[in-house]
Amino acid sequence: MASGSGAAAAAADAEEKESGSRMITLTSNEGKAFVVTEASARQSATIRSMVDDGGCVDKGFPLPNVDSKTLARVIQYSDEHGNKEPHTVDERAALAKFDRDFIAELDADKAFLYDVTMAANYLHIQGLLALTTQCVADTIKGKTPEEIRTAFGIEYDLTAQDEKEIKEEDTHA
Amino acid sequence: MEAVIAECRPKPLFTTGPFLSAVGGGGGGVDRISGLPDDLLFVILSKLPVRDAVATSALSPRWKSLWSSVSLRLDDAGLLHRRDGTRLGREGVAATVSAVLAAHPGPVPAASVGCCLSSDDQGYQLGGWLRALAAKGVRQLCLMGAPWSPRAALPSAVFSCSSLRRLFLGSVQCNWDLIPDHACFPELREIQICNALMKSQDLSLVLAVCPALETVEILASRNKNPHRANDHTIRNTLLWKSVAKEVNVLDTPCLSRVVLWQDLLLPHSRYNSKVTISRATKMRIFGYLDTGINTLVINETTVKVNTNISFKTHIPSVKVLGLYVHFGVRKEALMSISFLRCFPEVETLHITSKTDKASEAEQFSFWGKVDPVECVTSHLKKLVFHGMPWCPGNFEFLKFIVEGAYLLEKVLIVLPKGTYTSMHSVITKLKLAPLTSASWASHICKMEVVQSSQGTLSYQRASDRSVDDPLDYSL
Repeated sequence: MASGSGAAAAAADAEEKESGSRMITLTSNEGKAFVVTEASARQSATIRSMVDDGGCVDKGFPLPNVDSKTLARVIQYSDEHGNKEPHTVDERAALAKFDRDFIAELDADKAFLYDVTMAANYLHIQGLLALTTQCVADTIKGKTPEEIRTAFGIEYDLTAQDEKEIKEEDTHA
Repeated sequence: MEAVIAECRPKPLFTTGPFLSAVGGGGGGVDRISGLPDDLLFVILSKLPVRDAVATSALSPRWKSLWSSVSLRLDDAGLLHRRDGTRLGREGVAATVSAVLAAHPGPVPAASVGCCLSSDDQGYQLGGWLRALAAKGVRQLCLMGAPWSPRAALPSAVFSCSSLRRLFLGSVQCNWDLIPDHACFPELREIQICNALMKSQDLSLVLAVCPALETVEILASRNKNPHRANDHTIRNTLLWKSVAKEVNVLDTPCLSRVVLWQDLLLPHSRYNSKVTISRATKMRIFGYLDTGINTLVINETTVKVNTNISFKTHIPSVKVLGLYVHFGVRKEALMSISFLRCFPEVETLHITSKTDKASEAEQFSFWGKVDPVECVTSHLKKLVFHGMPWCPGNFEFLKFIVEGAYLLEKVLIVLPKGTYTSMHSVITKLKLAPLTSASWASHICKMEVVQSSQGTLSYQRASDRSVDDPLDYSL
């Protein structure tokens, strides 16, 4: 993230426009503006297609479905993946470590994990979506239905008949 | 053998992610996961092995209907252990596969059965699964028997799976003679047959019912029967760690890659193998031809050491060629030259030099009398040489190339793994001095010496259709 002001910054902006690394403003549903590089913003297929269709780059992109806290976290991911392309084995390993740490933090706060998943889905950030959905899937893995219910706080709303049927199906598992 | 099969079998449909979640998490008692829209829950469900996906169907009526509407990807590897870690056993896995296929309405785009095939029931159970999978539109199917037990017979029900795109058959017994008249795999693009026993007509029978087939791979199969790639749509064929008595590449207008890696586990089990090519006008990548065991027949002419190579035996479409040669043996060295003459427009040449036998104490003076080879003088840009350049025979070959190749841009010498513990640069330089001081025909050519990290062409490389040069195993 970066922000610019004054003539020098304007000149730098113009230069960046030439070289294809313009700055783009994303606005959360609380009206907070985040300035990111175009490379970072292009991690999102939604924004990418809006940028490529031309038009409103200067005005920025309002994101009515994403709050500030979630957007800041999403930008953290897309900055890391958009601003530098890993070339060497070490760089790829560093990026993989970033992903691991990033998801471990989210994993500890499930409610936030869902917000980020929803935002990744809305913004079409494939890599982030794969990461968060895999994290949810890994939480489910190896658990009994009862343990899954506890882990996710899912209401127990089956009828006795439903339960009997499911128990029968589940006997082999 | 098992390691060879393990290398080429398809990857499991599910992998355990590196992110293991703590039990409990931070749900805070509020059910946020059910707040996710169906399409996201589908994505999550599709990442779950079948046992865990079935478990979610017991969560609530919504989850139950989600499981029934998600596309099921069935991999029996995930069923082998119960949640408490105990083994379920073959029959238990098989019963679960049957139950899941009966309970799920489909579609089942991908299925992999590798833990519970048995030769005991004459294919009765497998036949039932195949009929169910056919009804549920299976597109990708992997059947893998245990390599050490009697092969399970492939039931003819497989021919009802007309929606297949990709088929992997490993250690199963295929009786293609039983192909029903109406059988057809109209969409099958890729077939891989691994550790198979095949009868002489087998592959041509299969090819006849696959009008859209692009890729044929024969893996880890040691049979003395012809491998035929005579089909109008095939683009790629791979014979990996396998030997066929004959490899026939006939009338294949689309074929662009023929990758052979005949190096088996035991050196003495190498069979002589005839490679016959005709009317393969788009073949671009071809190798590794073994000068010791392969007889090359091009447009009905057998290429021998003294064969006069004419336009009839030319295959100008080949740009990337791989040869497996023992330069210490005069006949093999001369044969390599004959092979090179058949491919006049080769730009990239991969040579794997055999070092398993001690060189014959022969004179190598014949190299001075070898006439120029067209691809070397006017097309060759890159040479990758696996072997020690200072060995007798190897040096003469390399000298022949660098002194004759006017367009050569790069020579990469790949020393065998562990040649030097520390790649002593002074010694290497000294040993390479005769080669570097030869009168190189090309003035722009660079030579690089590296030590090999892997001594053999991997299945992954050989089968990777996204790379331009699948014969390159120097990295």
